[in-house]
Amino acid sequence: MKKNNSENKSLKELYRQLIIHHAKNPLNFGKLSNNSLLSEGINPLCGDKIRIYLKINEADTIENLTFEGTGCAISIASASLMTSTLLNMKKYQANQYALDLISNLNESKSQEGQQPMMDSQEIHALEGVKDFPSRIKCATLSWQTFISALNNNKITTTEK
Amino acid sequence: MNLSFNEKNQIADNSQLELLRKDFPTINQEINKYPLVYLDSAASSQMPQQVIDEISRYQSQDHSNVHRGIHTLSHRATEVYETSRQNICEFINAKNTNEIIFTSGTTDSINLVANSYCKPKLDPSKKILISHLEHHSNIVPWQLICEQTGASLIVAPIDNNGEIITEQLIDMIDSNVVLVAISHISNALGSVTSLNKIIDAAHQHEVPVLVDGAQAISHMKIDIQALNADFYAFSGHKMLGPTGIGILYGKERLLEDMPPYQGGGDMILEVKFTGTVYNDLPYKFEAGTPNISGAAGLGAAIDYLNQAGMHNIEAHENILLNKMIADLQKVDGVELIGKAENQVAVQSFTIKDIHSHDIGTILDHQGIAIRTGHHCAMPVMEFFGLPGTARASLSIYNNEEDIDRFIKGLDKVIEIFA
Ligand SMILES: Cc1ncc(COP(=O)(O)O)c(C=O)c1O
Repeated sequence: MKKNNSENKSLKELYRQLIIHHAKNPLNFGKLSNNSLLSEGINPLCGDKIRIYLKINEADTIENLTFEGTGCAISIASASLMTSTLLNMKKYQANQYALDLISNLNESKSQEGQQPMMDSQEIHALEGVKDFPSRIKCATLSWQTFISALNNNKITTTEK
Repeated sequence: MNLSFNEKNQIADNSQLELLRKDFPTINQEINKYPLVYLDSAASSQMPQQVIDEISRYQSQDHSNVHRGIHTLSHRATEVYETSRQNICEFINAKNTNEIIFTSGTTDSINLVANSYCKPKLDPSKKILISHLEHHSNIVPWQLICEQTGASLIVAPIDNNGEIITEQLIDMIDSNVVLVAISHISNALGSVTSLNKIIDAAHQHEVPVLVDGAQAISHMKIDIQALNADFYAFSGHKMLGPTGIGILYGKERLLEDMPPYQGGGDMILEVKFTGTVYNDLPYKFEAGTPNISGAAGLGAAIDYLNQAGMHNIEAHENILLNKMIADLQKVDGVELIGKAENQVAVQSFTIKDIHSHDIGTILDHQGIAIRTGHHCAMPVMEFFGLPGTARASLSIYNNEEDIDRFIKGLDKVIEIFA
C-alpha cells in the first residue's frame, strides 16, 4: 500500500505526543469533595461522559478544578489540559478563555484573520482536531462542560 | 472470469461473489487516498448500480402517485410499487401480499406494532418482554407505550458471550405478556437469537412474537412461515436498498384486527364526518403517499440478492467472519466482545487502553470504515462495562483483502498509542 505523507502528517498532528501523554496520564483526574460545583457533559455521538468538579474561592478565583469520566484520547487530553490551564484563573478570565478556545477550534483552519491560538504551547496541541471535523466535539466537550459548571448547570451536551 | 449461473438463475457458487464487487460504485473509490475498505454495512449497506439504476429509471420514466389516477403514469407507478411488494412477499415466503406493509424502516415498523397492536391491550397488569441485546429502536417504542399505559417492560438477560439466555427468556413468558419483541441478530455483537425455541414457547402461551430482522435480512434466507414469527421488521438500507423504506411483515389474522396507526389518504375507503371506513390490508397501514422510488429500489435490491443467492451470501460472509475473528485474535491487546456460538457478519472488539473513537479515526485515515461507539445498544455496552466498542461488519461485497487491510490498519493504531 502506498504511504501518503500529507495524510499521515495530519494524523500525527492529531495524535501529538503531548496529547497521547495527557491521555495516558491525565492531570487533575478525580472527584472533588463537598462544596464544589459539578457539571456533567455528554457527547451523545459516542456516549462519552465527563464530569467537571469546580471550586471557586471568595476572590472569584478557580481554586480547584478536576474531572472524571471516560473518553477518547482527544477528550481526555483536552480535559487534562483544560484543568491545568484554567486553574488559578479568575472566574471571568477562565470563562472567556474557554469560550475563545471553543470558537477557535470550530473555526476552519484556512479562515483568514483568525485569532492566534492561545498563548500556551500545550493548548496549541489541541489544534490538530481541525483537520478532523468529526473529532472537534471530543476536544471541546470538557471546555463546554466547564462553562456549564461555572453557570451552575448540571448537564450539557455537545449536540446543541 | 465471468459469472456462471445455476438453473435457478442464481450465481453458481459463493467463490464468485468476489466478482460482484465491481457493481458497487461507493465501494470502488478512494477515501483519504486509499481504496475504501467498507466494514460498516451493519449501519447501512451500499447499493449496487442495478438498484441505483432502477430508482433512476423509475423517477425518469414511471413516476406519479400510486392508487390514485386513471392515467398511464399513475398506473405504472402503482405497478412498480405493487410488484415490489410481491417481490418482498416471495423473498421472505409470506402467505400473501396483505401481510407486507411498507413503512419507512425497522423503527417505523416497530412503532406501528407498538401503537396499533400492543397499546390498546396494555394496562398495569400487562408486560412486554424484550432482551438485553436490543437496538434502541426495539427498546424505546416499548418504553413509551408502557409509560402511557402503566404496563411493564421486562428484559431477558444475556450471558458473557453476548447471547440471550434462552431458557430465562422463556421462563419470563406468561399470559400477561402481550408481546415478545426480540432481534434476530444483534447489531452490536452479531449474535443470532434462538428464535425457534422462543417462538414455540411464546405460542404455547398464545403470546405473539415480533422479530427485529434489521440485521438478519441481508445475511440469511428468511422463510417467515417456517420461522412462524408473528411480526417481522426490516429496513431497505441494510439490504443493499435505499433509505426511507422498510417492511413490516405481520400475520394477516393479527393485522386484520389492528386499528390503523396513522390516518390519511390511501388508508381509507370512504371518509365522512360521521365516520370513516378504513381500507383493506395492506393499505390500512399505509397512510399518505408512500416512498414509491424507495419501493422500486428495494424491489431491485431483492432481485440482486436473489441472483447472488442467499446461501452463497451466507457462505461467503461466514468465511470472511471466521478469518476476521482469527486474525483479530492475533492482534496484541484486542479483546473480542461478543463470542456467540452462532454469530453472523459482525464482530465487536476493544483494544486495551485505546478508545474506540481513536481506533475509528486512525482506520478512517487509512481508508477503512468501521463503526465505533455504543451502536445504539447502550444496555449491551453497559452489560460489558464498556463505553463503546469498535465494530467491523461484513456484506456481500467484502473480500479477504478487506480483512487484511483492516488488520494492518490496526497495527497503525497500536503504533500511534505505543
Ligand atoms: C437490530 C436493529 N434494529 C433496528 C434498527 C433500526 O433500523 P432503522 O434505523 O433502519 O429504522 C437497526 C439499525 O441500526 C438495527 O441494527
